[in-house]
Order: sequence, then C-alpha cells, then structure tokens
Amino acid sequence: MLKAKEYKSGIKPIWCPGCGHFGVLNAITKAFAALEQAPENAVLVSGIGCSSRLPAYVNSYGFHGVHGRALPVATGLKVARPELNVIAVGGDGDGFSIGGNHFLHACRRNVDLVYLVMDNEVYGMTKGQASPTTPAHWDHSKLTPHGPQLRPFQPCALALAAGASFIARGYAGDPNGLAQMIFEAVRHPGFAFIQVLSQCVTFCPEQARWKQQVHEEDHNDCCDPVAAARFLHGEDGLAKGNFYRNPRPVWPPSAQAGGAVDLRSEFAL
Amino acid sequence: MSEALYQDEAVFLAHSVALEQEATERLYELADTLEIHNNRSLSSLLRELAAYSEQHARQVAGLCQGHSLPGLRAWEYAWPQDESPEVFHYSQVHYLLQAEQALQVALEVEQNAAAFYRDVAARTHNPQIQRWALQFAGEEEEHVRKLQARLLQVNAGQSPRDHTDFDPPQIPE
Repeated sequence: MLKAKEYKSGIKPIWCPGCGHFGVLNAITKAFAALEQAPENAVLVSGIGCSSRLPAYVNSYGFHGVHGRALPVATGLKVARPELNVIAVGGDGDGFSIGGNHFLHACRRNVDLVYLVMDNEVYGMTKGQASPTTPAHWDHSKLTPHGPQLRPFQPCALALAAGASFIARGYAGDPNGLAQMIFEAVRHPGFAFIQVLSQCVTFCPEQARWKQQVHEEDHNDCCDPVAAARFLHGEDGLAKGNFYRNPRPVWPPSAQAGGAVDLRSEFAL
Repeated sequence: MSEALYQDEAVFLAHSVALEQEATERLYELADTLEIHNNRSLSSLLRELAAYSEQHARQVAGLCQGHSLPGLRAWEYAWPQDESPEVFHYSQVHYLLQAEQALQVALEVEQNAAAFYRDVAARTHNPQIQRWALQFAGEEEEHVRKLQARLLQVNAGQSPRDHTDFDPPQIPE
C-alpha cells in the first residue's frame, strides 16, 4: 500500500508558485492512495497546456499527447484495455475549445473513464489569452483589451446536456475534498466529469479570491437530470460538490461484462 | 471522526503525523518550484523551514511506536478547515513572493497549528492526549517566536521594497 507522496514521480513540476494544479496533483495522489491504486494499472492521458504536464508528475503510466485530443486517446485506451483505470486530464482551452467536440461525444458515449479539467479560465502556457470559460469582461490580455465579450461556457451544464453520467466540480484549494471526488469518480461506472477550479495566480491573480468565494453545494448526488439542469443554470459557477450521478450503460457494451475487447477479431480481414 | 480526534490516542497521533508531514511536503514543494523559477535565496529559506517541520514530524513519528495508527483517507481527517492547519493555501503564494511574505505565511500556519493543538487540549478528556497536545502547541509556539524574530531581521535589513515586476507575465501580442 503506497502513501500519497509515493504516487509522485519525482519529476519537479515547473508550474508557477501558487498554481492550482499543485492542488490537483496532490488530490490525485491522495485519491490513488485511498484507492490503493497499483501504479501499473493507472494511466493519465493529457493534451497540451500547463495542466497537461500533470502525467509526468505522477507515478503511473502517462501519455502527454496532442492538443485537445486527450479524450480520443483515453477512449481508445480504455476500450482496448478495460482493466486499466484511465484518467484524462487537461485545461479549459484544451478541453472545451480545441477538444470541445471530443468532450461532447465522450459525455454521450459514456466510456468508463474520468475526465478532470483544470479550469483556470485562461490559456496560461501561451501567456494568458482568453479561453472558452473566461469571463466576458476579463480585460487582462492585449488580444482582448475589452474582454472576450462572449458568454463563457458552462462546462457542467454542457456535460449534463451531452449525457455525462457523473458531474462534479472541485476546487484545487481543497485537495482533500477533491481527492474524495476523484475517488468516487474512479469508482463510478461510466464517464465521470470533474471541473476543477484551479487558480492561475500569474495571469489571473484575482482567482486567489476563490478561496473565499468557492462554496459547498448541498445539491449532492442528484440523479434527476431536470433538477440538475435547473441547478446548473442557476448557480454562480463557484459551487463545489457532486452535481449529478446517474449510472447508465457504458460503451462499448462488451465492457459491461468486464472482458477485454478482442481487437484482432474486430479488425481481422 | 472529530470526536475520535479528541478521545482516541491513535487518531490524535495520526492527525499529528499528517499535520507535520503535509507541512513539510508543501514547503519542500514550494522550495522546489521557487528554485526552478530561479528564486534560490527564498528557496533556501523555505528548505530551512521545511527542515524544522521534518524534524518535528520525526519526533511525532517516534511517539507513535506501539500505537497502531488508523489508515485515514485524506478527507477523513477532522481538520478545522479544508486542509491541515499547518499547510499554507496555494493561493497565498505567487511568482513574485519575497522572504517577508513567505515568513508571514509560515508564521500564520504555525499559529494555526498551535491553535489547533490548544483546541484539542481544551476539548479532550484523555490526559495523555492533553499532554501531547499541550507539548505540540508549545513547540509550535516556539516556532512562532523564531519566525517572528526572523521576520524582524528581514524587515530591519531591507529598505522599502519595490514590488515592480520587471519581467511581467503578459507579453505584447
């Protein structure tokens, strides 16, 4: 049985001091410790961006892939190797813009994997441009001097509409609560989406105030999609909690039997 | 779990071990990050602070011999807030962090840890837990005094600081 810190790879993160992604890394390692996860049976798959560096920092298998394509890779891996715990990770730009369509179809498809989006409402790696979740009047970038002036995406509401069977929002400043959420997401049979409010104190220093603003939501474990939709369209985007959990058949159907997919027979000429 | 913290010796010790280990890990993590960002002097100061916590963690671990500590999951600890009282919150630090601010943050978490142990000492009915909690609170308060002295030294040796960022993170587009 490994301790949480033994799930860290030993490679030092190059994130900025104060970056929320440190909290996510700690939450994943704490969740793995609680799950007694064998490192060789876990795979973290990412796209591109600050947050997508995470697989390198975890003592497990990892794949740091192509921008926006964490979910296709994770889906293929889970279908081919259903015995593995597959966790796709990335940022809001990677997941909701470049990889936006993959996100919708991953929710719809309901493959048994976890998708963690570290949402800091900005493209940090490329020096602070507006992303799909940036507030409309955020004017810190010279590319959008008057703010993007677009309504930001509501990732949890999108996930619900697209068919995700587990939807939650965590906060990087609460790694213990987030660890519990990841623990439950891994155990959930189906596609589990967790939006993590993960502050970028370098490009969005105002996100340091999330510590005071993020609040617990008692709408936990709702299995009624209509009630969940009503809640998600009315909340302020800073509620944390499990918003929706309603298991439904996973894809592919053969995965429900727990058997590995015989790719050779499927693709044999 | 919160009642067990006050009455069960093994649960109390499990909290004390986690409190010191997490403080040590968080400080080393920040020290590593600041080193990567070429703030070597502050990194070195944080390593010094982490070493104090590490030493304290070893002392607490020594007390655990003969006790079978419960294997608590991260979210099962009965901390007063989301995290252990001796870890700083990630959003308290940033890439322009200076020694004075780092010491203020360290001071705050040591005060939180001392308050945590004082609270346990006040609530417990177990005399052994009370002895340990008072001992640990005293040790945290000793750290507080050291940090206050260090902070005075840092403040005395510096002229008013200019926090202008000469290499801002925003590049011209």
